[in-house]
Amino acid sequence: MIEARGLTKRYGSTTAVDDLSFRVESGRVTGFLGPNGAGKSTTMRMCLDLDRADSGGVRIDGKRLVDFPRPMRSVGALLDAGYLHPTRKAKEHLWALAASNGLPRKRVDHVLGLVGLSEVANKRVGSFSLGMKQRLGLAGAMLGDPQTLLFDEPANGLDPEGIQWMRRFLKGLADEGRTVFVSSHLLSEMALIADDLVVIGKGSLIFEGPVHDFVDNTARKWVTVRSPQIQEIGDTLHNAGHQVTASGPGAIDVVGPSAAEIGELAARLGATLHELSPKTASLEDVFLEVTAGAQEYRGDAGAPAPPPPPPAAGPAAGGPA
Amino acid sequence: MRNLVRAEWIKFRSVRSTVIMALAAGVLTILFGVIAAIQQRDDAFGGTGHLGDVMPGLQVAIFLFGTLGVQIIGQEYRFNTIRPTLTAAPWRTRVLVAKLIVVALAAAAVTVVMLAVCALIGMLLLDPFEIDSVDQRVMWATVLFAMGWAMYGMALGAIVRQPVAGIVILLIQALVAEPILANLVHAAGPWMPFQNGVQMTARSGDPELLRSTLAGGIYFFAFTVVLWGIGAVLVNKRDA
Repeated sequence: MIEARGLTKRYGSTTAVDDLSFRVESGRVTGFLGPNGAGKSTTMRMCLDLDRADSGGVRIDGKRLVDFPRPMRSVGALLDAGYLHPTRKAKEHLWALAASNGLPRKRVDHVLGLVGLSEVANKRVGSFSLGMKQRLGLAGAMLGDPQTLLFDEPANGLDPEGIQWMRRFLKGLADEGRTVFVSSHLLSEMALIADDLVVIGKGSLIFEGPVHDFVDNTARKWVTVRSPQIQEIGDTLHNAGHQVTASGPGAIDVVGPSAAEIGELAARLGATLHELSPKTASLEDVFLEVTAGAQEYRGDAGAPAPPPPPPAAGPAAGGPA
Repeated sequence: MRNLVRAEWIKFRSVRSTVIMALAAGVLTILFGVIAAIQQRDDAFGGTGHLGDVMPGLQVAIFLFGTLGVQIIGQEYRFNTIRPTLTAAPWRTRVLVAKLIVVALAAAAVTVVMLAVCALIGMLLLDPFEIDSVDQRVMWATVLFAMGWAMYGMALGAIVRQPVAGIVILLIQALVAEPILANLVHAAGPWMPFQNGVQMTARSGDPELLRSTLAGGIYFFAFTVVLWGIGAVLVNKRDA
């Protein structure tokens, strides 16, 4: 388990991480989400004591990283695939890491096989593709067979097959009871692999809890109705106080009533329905909504906007911090 | 600590540039030694040859050891490998000590071989050639100076965290800044670390400009240890 309490990091007058507290449970994949510049990587580095926190701290299974006699046996991390010396061979990179924790060299062969790099173990890493470096980084993280793993954007540079492999790999680690903390900007990936989420914006916690809570409690839900008598249905729903917006020719999106209620109303009105589909915003939509006010860097007004769900009352922060 | 030293040794020997530099230090010194010995042999008024006569390349070797010191830490920052290093071994001072042991022992090993081969060159090419008690002192001092200058380079590397900047500072300090300062301000001579280190390896010092060989060595090492300490404090304090 990873527990961060009151983590704060300042760079001059800029507060990159502001009094951030969260828990990452064992046996689950916890996604770490936030817009660019939200402080994800800084937080990851503070978890590993690479960046010194101005206040607060992180405990992994109740200990600071320096308190583990052989840290790699307890904690593994892949922060950036590029953290390699280009003229060093892949196996030498891993040998050095293994030696620092008294791990046998056969572990190096094992993890190289695990990530599919056995054949290039004697090649200098400068010739590696980003995907191969990513796999080598993973091998380094797995060297000590640790209980806790931290990954910063692990799917970067992987091809579709590699991404699928990574997905199974991370899920498999969590299924073995390990603590898996993964930062990613690929929300579709997070939707597929994460059990829990920690969402931050401008260095502060926005949400912490299970993925389904994030979507269920925060996502907008609406019903799309398509009918030749759409005007009549829309007017009736509007008069009943529901939020109705046109979503295309002969179609409306309705926020409030359930699909069943709208179906019954249509039956009472004698209207024919061509479509009656309940909709929920995707994780991506929810993320964009929730972090809308917490984006450090954003495109100009001319940039294409995400497809908007129908207007509704402000998002209810389910399971908020 | 043994594990950390093993890890640092693997890192040291697995990077081509550091191995080439260590070998170059030895090879160049030996090559210059052969040239100097041949030249002195042909000189009718050469007199008795001593170890110093066949080691004109010593300073080149010393600079390369300093460069090795800068590289052993500077490259970690340049390629960000310091992050996996400190994730695997978060005890920063111990990691630095392990690096110091590796680079100092590598410098010492190359210097010992270099001295032995240069002595052999002297014996083979110079007649008369002798290794007297002063030469023996010079041999010890040379090994210590090689280790100390590697430590000095490492301290600079830890402070500036840029191999190129560290090497440039090292060279400018030793070759430009110290000689100019010592010439401009006569009293500054005894306070120049590199010149004091060189003094340690001289057969006879320059009592007007510098300290004695022993005092010069002590001053050089005191300065180097303080600088290394500053580097260690900064490495511990700063983000990796």
